[in-house]
Amino acid sequence: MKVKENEYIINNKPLFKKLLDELLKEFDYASVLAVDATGKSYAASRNGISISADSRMSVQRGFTVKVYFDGCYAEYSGNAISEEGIKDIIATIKDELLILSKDRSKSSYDLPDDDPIVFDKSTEYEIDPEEMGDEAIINKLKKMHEDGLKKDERIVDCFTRYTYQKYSKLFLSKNRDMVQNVMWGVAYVVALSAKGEEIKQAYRPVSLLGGAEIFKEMDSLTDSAVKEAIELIDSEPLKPGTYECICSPETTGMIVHEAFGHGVEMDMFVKDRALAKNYMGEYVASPLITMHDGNKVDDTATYFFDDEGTLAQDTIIIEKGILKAGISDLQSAKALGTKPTGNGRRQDYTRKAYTRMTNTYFESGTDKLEDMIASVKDGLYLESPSSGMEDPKNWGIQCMVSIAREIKDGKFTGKIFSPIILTGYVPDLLKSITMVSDTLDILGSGYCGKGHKEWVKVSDGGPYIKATINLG
Amino acid sequence: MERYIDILKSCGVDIWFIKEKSVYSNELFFIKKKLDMRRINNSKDSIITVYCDKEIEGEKMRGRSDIIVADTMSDEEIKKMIKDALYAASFSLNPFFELPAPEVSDTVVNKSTLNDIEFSKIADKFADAAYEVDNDKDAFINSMEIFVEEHKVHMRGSTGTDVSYVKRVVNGELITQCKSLQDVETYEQFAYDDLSIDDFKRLIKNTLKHTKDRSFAKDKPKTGISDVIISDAHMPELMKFYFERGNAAMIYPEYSNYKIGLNVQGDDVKGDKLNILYEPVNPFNDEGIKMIERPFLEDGVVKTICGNQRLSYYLNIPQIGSYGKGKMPAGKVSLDDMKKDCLYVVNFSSFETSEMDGSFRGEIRLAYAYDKDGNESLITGGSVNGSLLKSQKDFCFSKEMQNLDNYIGPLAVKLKGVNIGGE
Repeated sequence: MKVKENEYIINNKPLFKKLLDELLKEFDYASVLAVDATGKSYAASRNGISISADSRMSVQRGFTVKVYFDGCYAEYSGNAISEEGIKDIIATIKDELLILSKDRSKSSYDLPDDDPIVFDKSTEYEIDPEEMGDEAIINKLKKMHEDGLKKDERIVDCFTRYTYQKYSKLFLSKNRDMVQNVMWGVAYVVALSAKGEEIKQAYRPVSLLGGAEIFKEMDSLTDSAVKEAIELIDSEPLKPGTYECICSPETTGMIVHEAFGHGVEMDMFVKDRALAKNYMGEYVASPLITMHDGNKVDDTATYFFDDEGTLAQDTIIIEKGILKAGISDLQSAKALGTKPTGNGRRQDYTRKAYTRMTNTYFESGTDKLEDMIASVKDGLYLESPSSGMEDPKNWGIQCMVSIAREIKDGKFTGKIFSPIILTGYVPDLLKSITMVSDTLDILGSGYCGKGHKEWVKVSDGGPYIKATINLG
Repeated sequence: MERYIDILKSCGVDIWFIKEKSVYSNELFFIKKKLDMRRINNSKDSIITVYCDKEIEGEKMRGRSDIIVADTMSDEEIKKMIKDALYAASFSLNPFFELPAPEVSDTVVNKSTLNDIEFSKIADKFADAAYEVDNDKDAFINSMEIFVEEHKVHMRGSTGTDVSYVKRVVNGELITQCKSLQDVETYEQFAYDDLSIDDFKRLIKNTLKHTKDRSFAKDKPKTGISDVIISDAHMPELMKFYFERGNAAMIYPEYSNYKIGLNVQGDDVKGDKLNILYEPVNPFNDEGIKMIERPFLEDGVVKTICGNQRLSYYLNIPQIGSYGKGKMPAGKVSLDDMKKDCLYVVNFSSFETSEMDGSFRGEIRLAYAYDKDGNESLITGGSVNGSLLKSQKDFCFSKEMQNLDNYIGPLAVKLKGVNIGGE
């Protein structure tokens, strides 16, 4: 079934059109992005049961106005819109926004492209969480929580959560009139075990573009999380060094996203903050590697147009090891003289748009996982990524995983190490990739920050890869 | 807000809490010295919490659910949302808990020198200050974002709570660059609740210096064990371990063993003992509870447990709210005197402490290595990986202090026996 356009967008579209018409009387370019998002988060843990719809990450209603004035862009965001309030919005833009820091030297941009585009599109789902109902959803999570606690007395807690967001966005400019209706969901189990004062965590997430059918994928999560949490009790710190590693698809995804993806966000090119700008057309990875960002796959970051009214696309960033293209928002593309790639995204209507990743991944290869593991003489299998930080300027890697499983002579020894920091120089790691599995897994359970803020939903992933990595 | 209360009553909701928040912001975005974008945000919404009491198999239970509503929503729409929330609350049942005693107050205007200046001039004051000290011949401001916000918060509850406050804050991020020997950058965030122009200038000067030093840094640290100095904004991240562990959210599910009287550093403490006060960030927390300074740790011993209303009730402790800001006294050793036989990491890619196991870690962007005689060399790359559970017996806090939005206390701490990954 297709996600329905919501009533707020339908009912208020004439009002937003009127706001746009009034803005176009004053400015050479103006656009209005209106958003209405609903969603809920359900959780069960030893701390209790909760059902809430109080986070702007999933619930928001408001609009952003972008105007082009004196060669530069400015924005007003708010959530009060009415027939009589339109003139107040225009007055605030003219009398407060455009006099801010008015005597300072400003960037200069051309007018944005505004080719005519009109559509109304929706993503698909099988089960509407609202129809499934609060009772059924929370009961499923409670059962998983209780089952997890019963599996092993060393388990301190088994935290379960399901979050969904259903949003509609309307973009209006002089020539564009687009509506998109999207629903995504994320669910996870976190099992916690105790080792003295230390609490070990094992995280098992699933995600999808769709509705409550996600529960079909959750059955095996509890067993797997509990098993790993127990294993972590006996984990040891790893001796820092360089290791031959097999990365799980989630770990591959973290490398794709944190180590390389942030470096091809072209607002960083504009600021001279990304080394990738100097490597276009050059080998930055093994010839086995082709990297995409965009809407070729469906997950939590899939949409039809971005928050500046640019259509989403599939961008091939690395093709057979060669850096081919970056991703960009509208303003960065104007500054660089390139075409925007549909990657201008906002945390919510109150925030500025930046160049942001969407669904980012390495293509699958031809190797079998069992052959990859068998090929490791003395190395590690890295899984359960926990966090990462970008360094586009210097291509330094800081990624963390919870588990490294020892492999000797092509077999797992049963010994595990934790926690693990991946460090080093990004192209060194990517060029060291010698095997790529014939599978592809994408996961969109997390949010991505720009620096330490501006959180947006993203997905990443890829195949299993074999690489040489510095571990701390 | 009266409209929401009338709708709550018409829906048969007896127990409720409303937090209305409006935010008006001025935002400036710079690339090099040019203004790249201006923004104003003017938004207002309310979180409405509804409670539902039930008795299940003889046990009294209380459920709650929260929704976000906006003034522009119609009565019918809000009514439907509240009914949905009440239905949801009937399935998010937990053992019964009392709500805190009602708090009533006139609007509290947060004391701040930001109130002494016209709102629309504040962002420019900070921008002018930044570019005034952006005069190094090698290192410079690459880009900067300044957000000036005025928050107006009003909370009312069915128990009689009626409190409100107004607060101005300035926050943002700063990236400095230097191309001297290598082309490098440093990322810093800042947050002030005063017109802290001098602190802001000092931050920019230090960041420019660190960036220039990083440009000349080539060597990785030696792999092994070393004493490590952590400072500046990494201090509250390190101390977060104790704050989280002292919160009912970790104590109630038994992730943390903290209780009143526990000596969290254990016996045989050779270094500084922990003395931490809980500091209020806002006059009232999100549950309408008045926030005041309270003792948390005295010589390493837990004096107060904080937490939300529900978990505090379960733990049978006073409902004082959750605190995330700490105040600590100065240490006995100057930062300069610490700089012997250790690694002083001034900038990480990202520095993280886990409240679950006490581990702290980060990839080094710039560090100063000091030998036994205090000779300094520049370090970049490699990583730090340690455990507060091991290091907490030997804390050495600096005499120098700092005042951040989430921490008042020593500028630096020296930690013994930290794992270093490098060459």
